[in-house]
Amino acid sequence: MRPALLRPDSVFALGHPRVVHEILDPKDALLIDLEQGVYYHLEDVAATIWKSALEGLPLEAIATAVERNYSGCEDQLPAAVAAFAQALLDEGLLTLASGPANGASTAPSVVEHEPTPYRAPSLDRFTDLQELLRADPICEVLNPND
Amino acid sequence: MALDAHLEADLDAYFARLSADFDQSVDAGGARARCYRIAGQRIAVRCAGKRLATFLLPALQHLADDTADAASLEVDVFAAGVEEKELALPAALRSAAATATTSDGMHESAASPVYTYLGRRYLISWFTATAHTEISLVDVDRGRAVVMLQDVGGVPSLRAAAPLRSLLTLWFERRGMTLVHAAAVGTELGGLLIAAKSGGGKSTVALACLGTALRWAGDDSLLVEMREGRARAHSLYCSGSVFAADVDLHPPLGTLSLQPRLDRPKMQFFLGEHGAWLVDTVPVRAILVPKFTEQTSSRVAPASPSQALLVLGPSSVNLAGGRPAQRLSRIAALVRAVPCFTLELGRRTADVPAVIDDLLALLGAAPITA
Repeated sequence: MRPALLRPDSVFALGHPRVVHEILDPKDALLIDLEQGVYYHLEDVAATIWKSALEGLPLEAIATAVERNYSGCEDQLPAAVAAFAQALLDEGLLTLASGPANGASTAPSVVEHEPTPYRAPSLDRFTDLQELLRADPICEVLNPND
Repeated sequence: MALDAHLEADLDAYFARLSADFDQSVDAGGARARCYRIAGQRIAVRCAGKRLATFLLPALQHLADDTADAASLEVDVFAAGVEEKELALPAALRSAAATATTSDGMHESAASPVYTYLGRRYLISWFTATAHTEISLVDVDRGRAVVMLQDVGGVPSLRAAAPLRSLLTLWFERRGMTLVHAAAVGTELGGLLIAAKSGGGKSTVALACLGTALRWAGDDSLLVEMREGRARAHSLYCSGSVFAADVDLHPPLGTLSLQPRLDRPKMQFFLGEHGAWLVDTVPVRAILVPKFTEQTSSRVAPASPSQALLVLGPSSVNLAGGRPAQRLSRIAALVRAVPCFTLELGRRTADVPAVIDDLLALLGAAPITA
């Protein structure tokens, strides 16, 4: 069942602890869902949305961050950003948070790179290692003081 | 804090119990002891019983160390025919697992769960599935470890190609190194990490270099160490595998004993008797991502760090326990630190050593095969 429509003040958090991710540079991110055995590659606008979401920015500010870093953004940018955020929610990579995380900014990110041409965000999804990624699910028990 | 104290006390008892089981196995069948120099550290391994040693030690033979240096880690390994009920996790660890910040029910529903506990003093990797059990427990303070494998009809349940991988991962990742799913070739002066998913060309490249001046550091699992922005790949195993149909393409294999692998349609071999073909450690000058093509000859082309991470990250992150997020982060640091290239493999791979040699020369490392 799809959750309620996103609002401009919707904020996000990592979907679950079995999602590991690495933001290689502001325009490139690798996400691995160890529970589903699926991994994702996000580039450009998609990576900016992911990064901004994990910084605790509300949806509206995420759209602003995209606008500042990409040229020629589409007229319906807020709707495109919301649709992509919804896709991340549907995949379980993000979850809706109740409010900005402690210390998180509600202001849009600064310009992180020279504006590059806008391309609609897309989620490259890979299932070729599903067996490997799910074969040995790890129950990671960490020392509380570690 | 209280939980941690319970865990430590529980793991004290668990370690003592496994050590007593090891002693019992030694009383019954004797022990084989060997020392190895792995990633610069001396690791002393005692196997309970000759049969276990014949499975466990060939893949490590190239790292045998006969010095009298003190061992950083002493490992006792035994195989035992055990019932699953006897393998219960220590109570406090089971309790911690149930409340760990992992998804609900994961360890309940999973057919073959791995529990990884990384405490201040103890590290544990606990894996059990039908006909395969591997429990590795490390006491960091004492530099001691005990590993229990399941004995299945007189055969220890282990991958002879990569023995003690969980244990070595626990030990070396605590020391800042990272297990990666990759091959590596080169010399002490410099080499390349070859990153590919299974079937993606790691073994093809390593085999093409076998017996040349580009020596073999591994074709599947390696430890990578980052120090002051420089990367180094440490050999773990001298095992390799090749498709039966391809054996004749690699003349050096003609001198080796090839055995069929049970899990894949490949032949397995060990290179321990051919020290001149092997290298223990190589400074990583670049990462190569192989790609099979229909071209006649092989060539390299620049690749982005992202391309390397996309291959190396997902295939490494869940290997042999450990902390996936930490491993991914370290692999990201690696791909940022060294240049990345695609190796477009031609139909014939005989030119691969020369192509790699040219690349190393381009990167400022001394040519190797010239």
